[in-house]
Amino acid sequence: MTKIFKSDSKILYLSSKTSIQKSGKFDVILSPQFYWVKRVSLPVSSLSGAKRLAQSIYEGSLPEGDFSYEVSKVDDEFIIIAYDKNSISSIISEKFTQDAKVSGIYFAQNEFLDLQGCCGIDETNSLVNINSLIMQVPRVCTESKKEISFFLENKKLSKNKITLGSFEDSVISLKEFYFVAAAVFILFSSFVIDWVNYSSSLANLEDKRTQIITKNDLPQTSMQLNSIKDSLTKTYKTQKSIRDAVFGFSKLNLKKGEYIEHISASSKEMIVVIKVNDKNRENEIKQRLSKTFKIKSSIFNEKHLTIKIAS
Amino acid sequence: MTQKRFILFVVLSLVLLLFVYIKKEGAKKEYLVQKVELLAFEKEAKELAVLKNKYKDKKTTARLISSLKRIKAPSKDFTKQDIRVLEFEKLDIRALNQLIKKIQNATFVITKLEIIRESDTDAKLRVEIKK
Repeated sequence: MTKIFKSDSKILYLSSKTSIQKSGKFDVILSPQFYWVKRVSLPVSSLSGAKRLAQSIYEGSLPEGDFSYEVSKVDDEFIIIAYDKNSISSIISEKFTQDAKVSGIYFAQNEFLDLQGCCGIDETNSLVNINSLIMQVPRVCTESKKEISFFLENKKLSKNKITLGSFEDSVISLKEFYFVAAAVFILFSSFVIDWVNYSSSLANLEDKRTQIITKNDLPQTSMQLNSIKDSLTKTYKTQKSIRDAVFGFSKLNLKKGEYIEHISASSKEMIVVIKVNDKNRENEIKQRLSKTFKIKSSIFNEKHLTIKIAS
Repeated sequence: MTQKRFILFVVLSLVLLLFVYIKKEGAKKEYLVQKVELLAFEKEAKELAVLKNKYKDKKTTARLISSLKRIKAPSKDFTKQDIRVLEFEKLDIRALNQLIKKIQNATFVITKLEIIRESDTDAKLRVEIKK
């Protein structure tokens, strides 16, 4: 891959006599011998209007080919350039081989519009500006003192670059481009496949959730579900604490002469009444029960110890 | 391919890839979260189903009450609103232990349980069961 952002092209005037370039990067100015140019007065004022008429202007005067047209305005008249992209492409591919690359292609008509008089382009030809039309004429017809190199030096190119489709400045070759495009496509496809798979799996999860609800005969809405969950959890805790209390009281180590008189367990409170031998036993029994239960209160009355625990 | 077109291609490709990647990652994250939530929900649903069957199965409650009555015929057996009350009197230690063990393992909903000493050898048990 060549440098993408740096522009270091050399300006080259291209005529049929230009030698073949094998390396370097070029902005090419096409000699008038590669296109046709006419200066005409038309009954339209816009460039687009003139462009629509361009083909009819050249009707019958061009050789066979697929021509494109470029229009510019000089004073009240239009300069119409007719060019065949295919033949220009052929010339470019013929003149720029191996590592030589073309950054941009321009018409001499646009680039030398400000040419005063003429300039020699090679040993036999000159470029002249005749009534704003840039022509290539035999050198003998002109008295050129300046060579084209003088004009190309520090030449600032116009914005009238033409596109041929295949011989413009290639930052990557077609093969490299296909490789990059294939990589992008594979990456894109894998992302899309993953995205679709995850989205589809998400939908499956929703279905599975519905199946779980149906299978376990549970309500559909989360509000109903939470309500039933709270209710069942509360019931479970209460039932467990009632059973634990009865089991815990029945496992109390009582001394001879001591016995449980009454056990009462409900969701509201748990009470155990124990007949004990003396008051000292109150603390021992409470200590024992507090390992398993939270004692709310205790009353000792005539050897009867009443303990309330939290449910 | 020209520099401009190549840059355009690269930029568009990156934008497109970034868009699809963000969408994919979003869907992935959502899927993983939902999957974890579903597993938790499945576990919770099973627990709820067990609890629901445990406490709301009237047939099982009736069967368990019958099994209590087989240990000792209750002196009182009546229904007050939606509460079934069973009272067992003059229970010896063996019958009392059998009843307590049965009640402890039973899955019906007890609203109140009372055990009262009647004499040195006998006790009374009163259990209120939600129908």
